[in-house]
Amino acid sequence: MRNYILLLVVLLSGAVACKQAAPDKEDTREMYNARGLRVITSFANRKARTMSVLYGNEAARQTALNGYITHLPGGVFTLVVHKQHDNKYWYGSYLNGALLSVETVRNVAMPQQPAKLTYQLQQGQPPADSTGAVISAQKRMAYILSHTPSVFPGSIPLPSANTAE
Amino acid sequence: MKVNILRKKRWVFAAALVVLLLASSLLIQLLQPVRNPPVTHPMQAPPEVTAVLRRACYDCHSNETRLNWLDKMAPASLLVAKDVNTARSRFNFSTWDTLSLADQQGKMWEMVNMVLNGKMPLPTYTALHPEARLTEQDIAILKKYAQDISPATLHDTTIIQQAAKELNQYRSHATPVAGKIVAANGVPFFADFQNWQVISTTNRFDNNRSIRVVYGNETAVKAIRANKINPFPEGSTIVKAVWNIVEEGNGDIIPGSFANVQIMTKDDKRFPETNGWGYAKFNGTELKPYGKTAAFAISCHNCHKAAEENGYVFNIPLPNRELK
Repeated sequence: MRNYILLLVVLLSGAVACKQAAPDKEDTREMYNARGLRVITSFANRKARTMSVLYGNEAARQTALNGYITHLPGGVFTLVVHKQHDNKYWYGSYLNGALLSVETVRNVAMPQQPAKLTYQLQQGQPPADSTGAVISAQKRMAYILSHTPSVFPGSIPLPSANTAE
Repeated sequence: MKVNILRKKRWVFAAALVVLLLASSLLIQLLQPVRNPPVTHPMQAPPEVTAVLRRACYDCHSNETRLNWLDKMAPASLLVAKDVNTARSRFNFSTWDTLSLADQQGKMWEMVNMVLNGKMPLPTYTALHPEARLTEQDIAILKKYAQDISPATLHDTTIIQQAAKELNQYRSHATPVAGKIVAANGVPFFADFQNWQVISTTNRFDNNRSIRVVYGNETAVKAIRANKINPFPEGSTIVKAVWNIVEEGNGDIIPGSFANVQIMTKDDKRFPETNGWGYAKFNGTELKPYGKTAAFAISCHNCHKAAEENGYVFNIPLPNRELK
């Protein structure tokens, strides 16, 4: 009998532990998973209250470094735009808030062929201009491919497996 | 007979003890541990700003400390002296103008944030000095002053030119970094953080106008996702890459010249005096370690105390409930 009670206690405490292990979804925090892409640059607009990060694979990074003159085959750029949020722990600082959009530009051309760029809105609403009109894919691509890469000092080992493509 | 003598002796001893205690408590009152040295370089600020600071901060952060009778009574006076000495060592409004403009800006923003976080004025002080409590209007005056002394320079050509130079070096893979770079407390620089998960992106409009990308290792990211960050688990490492900003009239903020890489790594045994966080900062494209001795981390941590609720990390993504 004592053994059964012990077993019951163990099972109940296990159930409680499982319940504690899963936090309330409202309390969890999300981060955009760039799936192996690295940051090319980040930028913001305080009037539009947006904060953006441009990610890319190695071909994209090299393309950005050469000023987007030559598009390397297989280049993948992903622009992630967040809403700007006040940082409640430091007045004088903004932090990225809710995710607004994720857009990807790919160079799908075969090697030695002229660049063939595709645009895809992967998440969120199509970006609009100040009048509310949706911006064309062509204009968005030109915008995404206009950003100078940020300088990261130090020699950077490449990721062991690029899971982007 | 013997019992009576013993009783008498006890009484004499007790009386002597009481007299001794009374005498020493009177003598200790002669000690006045808080002195007011001369005011040599007072703060020059608009009268509405100094009025707020005088009311809420000057008793501890200046050489114009005014003590009431209770503050002068030992042992309270000894505790007050400790607070005043600590406060004056952080910054002193009576010698404020000996600070560089950059230091004045930094202290002012820190002050505003300490007030907003309820850390200052000390609750023990406002309990006895209710007039020192700051109103919304007082805080608005301090915020405005902090912004006024840290104006933006639109299209800053110095930053733009330096950024262009650094980008040329970066293009030719000539980033002048050689060998192992280690901060004074033993925290090393590593470039692999670029392959880590991005935790957040931030930008600042205070004295340190900059844009940043913040990364975390797997341990830190797992803890952040599950909101198990107070405390962060051992082995958590967070890296922040910082660039000076180029600001434009249309609101655009873009990275300019490279500023630094900052690292926080959690190791309770190695860094007990900073709640387990080992801090490091590597400045410029040469990644020069900040701080000559390991003590530099204390000032990093003092600032990070504002984010105590978030495990001492400022820039972690908001919980889902706050994203709406």
